[in-house]
Amino acid sequence: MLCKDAGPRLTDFDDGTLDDETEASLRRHLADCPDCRADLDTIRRWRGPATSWRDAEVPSWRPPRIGQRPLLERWLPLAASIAALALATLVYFERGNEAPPVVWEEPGVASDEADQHLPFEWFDENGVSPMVEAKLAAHDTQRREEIEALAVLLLGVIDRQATVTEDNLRYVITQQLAEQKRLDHLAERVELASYRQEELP
Amino acid sequence: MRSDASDEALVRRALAGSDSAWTKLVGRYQQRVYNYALRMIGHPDDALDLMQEVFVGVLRNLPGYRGDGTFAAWLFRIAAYRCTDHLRRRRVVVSLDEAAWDGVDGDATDAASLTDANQPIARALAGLPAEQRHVVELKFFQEFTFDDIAGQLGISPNTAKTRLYGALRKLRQHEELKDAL
Repeated sequence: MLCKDAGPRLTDFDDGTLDDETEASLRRHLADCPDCRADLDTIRRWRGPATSWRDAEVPSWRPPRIGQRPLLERWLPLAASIAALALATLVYFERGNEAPPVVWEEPGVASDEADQHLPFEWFDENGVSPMVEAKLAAHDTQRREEIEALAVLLLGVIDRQATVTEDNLRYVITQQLAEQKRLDHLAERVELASYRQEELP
Repeated sequence: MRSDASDEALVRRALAGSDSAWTKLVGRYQQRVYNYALRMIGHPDDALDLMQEVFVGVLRNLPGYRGDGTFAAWLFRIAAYRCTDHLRRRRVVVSLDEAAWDGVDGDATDAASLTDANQPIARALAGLPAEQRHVVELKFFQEFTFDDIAGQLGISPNTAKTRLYGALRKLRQHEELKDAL
């Protein structure tokens, strides 16, 4: 075994995780190689810092909390629910001021008084329309899903925008540094040229 | 017993909205993460900033934790990502400073703010390139396997081993550690 093969295996050797054949080969190499023995000694000494390092106390800080997720993510579903509930309540109370039920009149067909109303019940005995309620509930769910999807999309856009901004900034800074180097180089050359000019007879 | 709840159980409770479970998780790891940040970055204020970033990242990504590895390994994957990002950002700022004023060492550790026992270790780590320092940190201080480290740093296990080997060659020069350890 050569040093370049032995070196990366020293930690596994010290962990005792090498297979028997490799371990035996490495042992033979270590017996003949003071350099790799020194590396192994360094590994063993550096296992020490983990225990000799005195953990510093964490300064006072305020950890993020479960409820501290981004405002958009946290409040939008609730706001959508409240809006839907408010809409449903509004519809419910406004219903009392509604015009009488729509009269169904097929052209050219005579109908008596009882058949003039729609062929299904609009409201139950409590004055609530099951159909309207069902529609509102479905609408509420759909709106909530749409808003949640929008929020996720928005967060993605914000993250991507932040990355793009950072990349742009890095590019500008790199360009500025390169330009500065070029200017410095040019200044040196100008200075050198002026010295040479002075030295001319 | 509740106080001995596994990390995974605390994660499940935190995901169900339990703030106390989340607080317990933070309490369990904050010192480890802070000292990790301190060794990687060197400056206590920056280390605190990094620790906060790490826990914000953990909370944000918690629903994505699938439990197919230990929670610690997953947490340190986020920590490694944030730390690399932090060092990269600092390098840009330091490069700007250097353009105006030479003599700034971007990776220098603020050793004066550390205890006497920690100073030689911090100095030796500060002498390593960030990628080698990261492997030393995750292997010797956090005691992760090379497979874990490979996942955390987005490299192969063999690359992790080679980086550690390269770091060891440099660390051999720090004779002062012999007395300190």
